[in-house]
Amino acid sequence: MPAHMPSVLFAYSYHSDALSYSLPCTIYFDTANAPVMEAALEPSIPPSNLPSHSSAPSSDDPLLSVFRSHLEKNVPVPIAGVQTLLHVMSSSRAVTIMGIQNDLKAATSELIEYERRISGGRASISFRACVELFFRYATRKNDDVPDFETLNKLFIARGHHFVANALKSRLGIAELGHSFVQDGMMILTHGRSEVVTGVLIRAAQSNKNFTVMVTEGRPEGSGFKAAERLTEAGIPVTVILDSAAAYFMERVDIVLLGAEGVVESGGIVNKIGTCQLAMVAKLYNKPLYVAAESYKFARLYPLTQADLEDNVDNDVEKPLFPPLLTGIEGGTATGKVEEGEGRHRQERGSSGNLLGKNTIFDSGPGVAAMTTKNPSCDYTPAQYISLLFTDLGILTPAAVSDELIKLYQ
Amino acid sequence: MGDDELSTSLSEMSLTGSRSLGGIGDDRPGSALSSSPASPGFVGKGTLRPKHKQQQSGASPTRVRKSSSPKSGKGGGGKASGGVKEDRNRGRDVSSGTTTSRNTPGGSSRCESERTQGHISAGAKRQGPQSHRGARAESEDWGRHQAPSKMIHLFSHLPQYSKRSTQSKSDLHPAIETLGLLYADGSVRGSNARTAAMLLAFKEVVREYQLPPGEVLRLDLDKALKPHIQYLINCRPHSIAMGNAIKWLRGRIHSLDPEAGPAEAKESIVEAIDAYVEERITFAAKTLAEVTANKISDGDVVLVYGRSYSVELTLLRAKAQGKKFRVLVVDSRPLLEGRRLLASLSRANIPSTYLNLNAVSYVMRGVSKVLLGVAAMLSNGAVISRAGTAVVAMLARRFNIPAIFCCETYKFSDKVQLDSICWNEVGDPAELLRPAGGPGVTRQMEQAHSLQKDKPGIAASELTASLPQRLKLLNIRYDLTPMKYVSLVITEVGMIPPTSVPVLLRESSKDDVNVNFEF
Repeated sequence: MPAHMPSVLFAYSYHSDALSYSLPCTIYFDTANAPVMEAALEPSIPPSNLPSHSSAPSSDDPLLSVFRSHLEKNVPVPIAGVQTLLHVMSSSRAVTIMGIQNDLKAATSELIEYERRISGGRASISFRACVELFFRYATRKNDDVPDFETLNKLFIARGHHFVANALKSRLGIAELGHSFVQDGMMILTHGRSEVVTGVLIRAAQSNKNFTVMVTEGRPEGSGFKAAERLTEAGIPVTVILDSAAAYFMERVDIVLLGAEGVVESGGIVNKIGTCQLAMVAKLYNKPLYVAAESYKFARLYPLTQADLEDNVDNDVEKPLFPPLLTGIEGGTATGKVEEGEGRHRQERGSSGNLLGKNTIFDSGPGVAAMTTKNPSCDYTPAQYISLLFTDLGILTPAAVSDELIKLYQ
Repeated sequence: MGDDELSTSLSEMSLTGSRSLGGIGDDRPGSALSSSPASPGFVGKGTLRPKHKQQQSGASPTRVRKSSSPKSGKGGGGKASGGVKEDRNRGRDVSSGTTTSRNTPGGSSRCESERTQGHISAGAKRQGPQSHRGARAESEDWGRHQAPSKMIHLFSHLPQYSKRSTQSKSDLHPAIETLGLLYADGSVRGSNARTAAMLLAFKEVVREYQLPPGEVLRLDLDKALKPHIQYLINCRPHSIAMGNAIKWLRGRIHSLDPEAGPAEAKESIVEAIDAYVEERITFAAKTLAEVTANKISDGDVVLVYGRSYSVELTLLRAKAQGKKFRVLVVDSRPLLEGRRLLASLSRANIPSTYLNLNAVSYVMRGVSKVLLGVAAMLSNGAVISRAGTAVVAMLARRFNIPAIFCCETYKFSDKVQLDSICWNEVGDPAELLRPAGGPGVTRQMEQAHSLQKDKPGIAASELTASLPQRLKLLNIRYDLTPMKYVSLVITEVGMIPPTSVPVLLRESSKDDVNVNFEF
């Protein structure tokens, strides 16, 4: 062992309680070995396999197995990460606070790296924010506690508290947010968000009649998935083109969006297209609400779109122009088809399936020289957001920073 | 060069901004003060005295012209003064020189009058205007005596810049007197430098303070500090950041443990001052620069205005991080602070462009970020900063370019202000007319100019004296940038939107001693 390394080795052990594939195994390593651990991780999962976490674990890494086991229980990815960290905490053999914290740090960076790979090469803001917040919250020092054992127990108790709160947050948001939906409203949403779906379903359950307009959400067509969920809940849904947002805005009453991350300015980072939607909504004076759990609050302050990290994807393998309206399996557009889509439907009849070749740009001499840019998310400044529905309450964008300061001080 | 010497003397006070305090490319005669061999002992006792003696020799007590600095005083013996034209007589005929002893106790000792006269000659160029509040307690409302015709109505409630003597009472600590002169002539400028220098001077005062028998230290020390504070305010009205520091210091003194012995109590104050300077100013600026530098990315074109210590640190830090960016230094009359920044940037090999404020709309479209310094951050999210900042921020907004404000948290104030009028500082009106090679406004001014072509500092006072009756001059130091033009505030505790200033104030006041003093 090199001289500069700490003399105490921290022990990691993962004893999974109920799961068959978790062999009890103990890895001894100190923080300096973390890179070695990362290098030993399984080869990266190709994005085409998504969602890969539902398949059987292909790796022996105990940390990731735990993570995947939590993902299988259909919890949000950030919470699965936190549950994994909680597991690290309770099974850590470290005997000092520093030891615990180092264990957690190592596990956190490993998880972030893994999450980056399964989400297609871009670390999600909410995942990072959530694990960071958990770390802050759970391992906050407490001078009153006399010994390590008690303090560790306190840490673990706090961790469980955090997870329990995080799991409850969607229900809380649905409870707070559904009163903003009123009878006869037309609600526009963009992309797929479990929180938004939760709010809308909760509103439908309280016998409100409203219709939802969903943008299709290119390129992966997340809007269709949202539309499917809502239709199942008996809510009338219309799917529109992403580019038709301005066309329909005059008929819309409120815009309700989810967020991938809520940043310090009170703005949000969300699926590409959110910003332009928000600008149009602002121009039409339509209120724009964002439903997001407080664990998505990130200590970031993007000033321009370029401030979002590894956002622009130049991967030509990823189809930039997939024909969406019919191509998606089980995703036939439901609800009334308006004239605009009718025309579109005729046109895209000639296109192939979702992941198939792009008939428009398949050939032609110009194709080779063409570049494509395919950013997956954008930043929407706070000035376009009316309110945020969070588990901390209904917040104005300015209050996000207040909450963040409280959380981090 | 005075630059280095002053920085030596200031680095003694662990003020990293000291580099800034000399005068690179600066025609302000004030920097001459620092080039005197006497100055290194910045907070030492009586450091200015030898120089004063030199100046006195051969000084004829005639009517004082603008004796702008010891250096120029030395140059033309007759111009160094035995007295000073008093402010209330400005614009009228002044009969004789020696009208300075207005607040000097009648039977002052020889030593003291020496010092006083020295100060007059050193500080006559820019003498202390009146503090807008506390000074009233001293019953010297000089602003009232200002020639009314020269006062701008909208700003008449502010302490007017006056040709008032910076002479002191006998019981002032030399460190404070020295500092007052440095404030008055602009050698120490910028909130960080001024606040740090003030606190370190107070530290000397506390150190040498002797508790009179029968007194309580925490009450008497505060009382002993008051004239010192007042003197500094007379030399130049304090900034909001300095006000915060003074408030903190007095709160700290008041919350001293009554049981502690005087030596112990003094030591704890000294330590607290060191900690404040270190944590809230020096270290804060460094951390802030680190955070801000991370916001600069390759290929950025950063526009900066004037010279702010934290902005300068940021740019140097970003360069050290290996970032490739370009800087546009926007400057404005009369201080031309940006030239110092330019010098420092070119030393660090950062590609920079220098332009004046009036050209900023032309270059703005090519800019990717605007970095601005702050004098005070108000709780309504507005920023008080060097005059001209609001123009730059508004223009940046117009071009959708983020305007980033760098502000240490000690500059946060719970005040609310909506315009640049209710609080500001009126600078020397003559600065506006100081000819930079161009013709004067009137024929008399041109004559004065041609007479004194080689001594621009001196010409300025002549120029103001020769102004036509109805011509008024306004040289304000600060302006207010409303919240909507502030994209981001970077502090040492992180990046916050301007709406969160009250939250930080609230959070930080939890652990501070809450004592409210009026100044």
